[in-house]
Amino acid sequence: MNILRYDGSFYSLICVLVPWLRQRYLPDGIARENARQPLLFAGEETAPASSTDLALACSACDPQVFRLPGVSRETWQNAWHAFLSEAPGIEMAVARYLLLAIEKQGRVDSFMADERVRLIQRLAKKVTFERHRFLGLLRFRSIGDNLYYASIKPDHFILPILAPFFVERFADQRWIIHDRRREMAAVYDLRAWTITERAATDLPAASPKEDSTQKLWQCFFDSIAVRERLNLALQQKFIPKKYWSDLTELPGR
Amino acid sequence: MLDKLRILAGAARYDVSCASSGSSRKSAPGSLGNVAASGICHSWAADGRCISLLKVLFTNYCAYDCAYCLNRRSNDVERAAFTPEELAELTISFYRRNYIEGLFLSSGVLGNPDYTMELLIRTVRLLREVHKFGGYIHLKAIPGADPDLLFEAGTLVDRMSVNLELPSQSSLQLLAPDKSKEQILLPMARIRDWHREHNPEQNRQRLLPSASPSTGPLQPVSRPLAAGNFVPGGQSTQLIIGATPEDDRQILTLSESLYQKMQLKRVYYSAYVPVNHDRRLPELPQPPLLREHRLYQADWLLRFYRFSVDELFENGPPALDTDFDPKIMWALRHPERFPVDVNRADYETLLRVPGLGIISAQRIVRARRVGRLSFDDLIKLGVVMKRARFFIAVPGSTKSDLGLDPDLLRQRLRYGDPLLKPRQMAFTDLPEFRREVRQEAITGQF
Repeated sequence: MNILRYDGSFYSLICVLVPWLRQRYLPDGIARENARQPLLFAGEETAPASSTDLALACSACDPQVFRLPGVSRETWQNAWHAFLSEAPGIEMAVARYLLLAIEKQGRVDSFMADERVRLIQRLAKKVTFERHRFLGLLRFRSIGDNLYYASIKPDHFILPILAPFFVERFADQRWIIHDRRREMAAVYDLRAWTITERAATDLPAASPKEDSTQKLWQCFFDSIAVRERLNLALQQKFIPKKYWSDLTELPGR
Repeated sequence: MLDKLRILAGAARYDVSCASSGSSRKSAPGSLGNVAASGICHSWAADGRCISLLKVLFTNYCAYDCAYCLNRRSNDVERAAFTPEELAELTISFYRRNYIEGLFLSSGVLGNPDYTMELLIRTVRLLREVHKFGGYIHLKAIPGADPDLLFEAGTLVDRMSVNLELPSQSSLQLLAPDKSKEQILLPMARIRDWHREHNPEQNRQRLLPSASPSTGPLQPVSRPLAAGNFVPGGQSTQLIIGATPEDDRQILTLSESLYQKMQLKRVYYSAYVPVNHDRRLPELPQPPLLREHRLYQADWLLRFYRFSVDELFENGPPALDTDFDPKIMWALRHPERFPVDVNRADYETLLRVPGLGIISAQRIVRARRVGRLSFDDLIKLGVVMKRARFFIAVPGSTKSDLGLDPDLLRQRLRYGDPLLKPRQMAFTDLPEFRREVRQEAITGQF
């Protein structure tokens, strides 16, 4: 039995897979070492290719580096986004998909009815859909001088693809996006962003003007609805209840 | 401030446009805000409509007396006005918390159109120049304002709109005696011409041909401006549906000509909600939401599915079918066009198949390059076959689904398979029917 071990990051997964894929073989299984801990402190004996930098470990890495023939940029993105779904068995699914990509020489994503392709495309779509949703639904609150904090509970590990959007949009404010399901956070300090593990206990208090701004937003949210067209079912379809607790506007009141 | 916001957001709620799309801007290094081409919805109000922009009136004081409008001069309502400073600060504080994509600013006419327009311009100037705000701004052009002011505003915002509100001159005369069609169309034409002049790239890419070259009096003086900086998101307008007697065909003909001649990005339809008692207005038990929904569907067919209004209504009444969406309505009148061979038909033909949307059609075109598609493959591709199966021929199609006589086809589309569900009922009883309308009420998005 050939069981590959990797440290939980996409980068590490690709590193252990590449020699196999180049030979057109699949391993029997791929095991994740000890969840996320080794990401930071991995020794060579646990993970063949460990990364010490979390942002790098969480990023999609550059497909050019691995020179896999037949793997287009689109295929690479799909594999990376599907990986972020954290679905059970995703590692082997990615391996099968990339192997097929090599066989099909760049046209793998046209085989949409093939189960190996369908699975990855579907998962990738779920992940990017959730990301898009949070571009809108994420709420910052001011917790200090030009410092903002947001709490989210996404189904998938979207921090690495969510953060760059907010880096571009809010380039002049410091912010923290806290994934409370995973207890990880994206942190931006006006120069660069990174992903860290953080405990939920050290939340700073809201700044003085925060409360009144939130009240203004709630007031706007209530005033903008047309009462004659009340349609709470439609509202809930767009904002499922699982997101309500992190929303400033308190829908469903 | 809380009261002002309550009054001025409440007063803006009947304006349906809320899109933050059509424009795209990178943030300036180290500064605040950018614009995502796709548009982003930040929340959904209790009526199910998307909230993308802080949508407010600058003031609801108004010199005009339009019959359909909550804020008309003769109404006794709470009045308020922001100051430019207040509103700019409010926008920034909302934006920084990721509540919104930007600002949608409209206004009642305070004093006169020029003065009002100047206040709006001061607000957006503060946002752009003092707060260095790079997010989305949609600004209403105040009918009757000076062209110089319109131009200045256009250099600062992403999208501008002039609301037509009523679909014909006679309705306008009856219900909005202070406005005229000219007064609305003139600024629209000016904005179009300036946009054309300053965004040459964008205009070349448009699908629809630009029909009328601008004529003498409408021709604006050419103005110097860096390319791409005049309302990059184009312009839109809004029509109130059901307050006046125009039929669907008239309304859509108007929209079509606005898309072609005025190069509008969007026409919004707003089911008339009676807010005033006025003998000139009809008494409606509830807003005509189904009609509004069907108009949006037909509007989609005009803009993305390459239909024309004449085609849609050929051999039929001037009203859209209430039972079926407009594409099915058209298909039922054209049995000679079906079934479509999914493995061979070109993209445009696929787009005309009921049940196939743009994404499905694109996936089909792509997937069939690497192999012949069967009925099961289509399902795996994610194509919804509920309606499409009656209109396409593909290996694995059920023979009994095809070549149906139109009456039987209507029956099948309405009730699914009569063999499985042998019961008779009125279409309005059908839960699916209601659900469709309630869940697909597309309004402000995109």
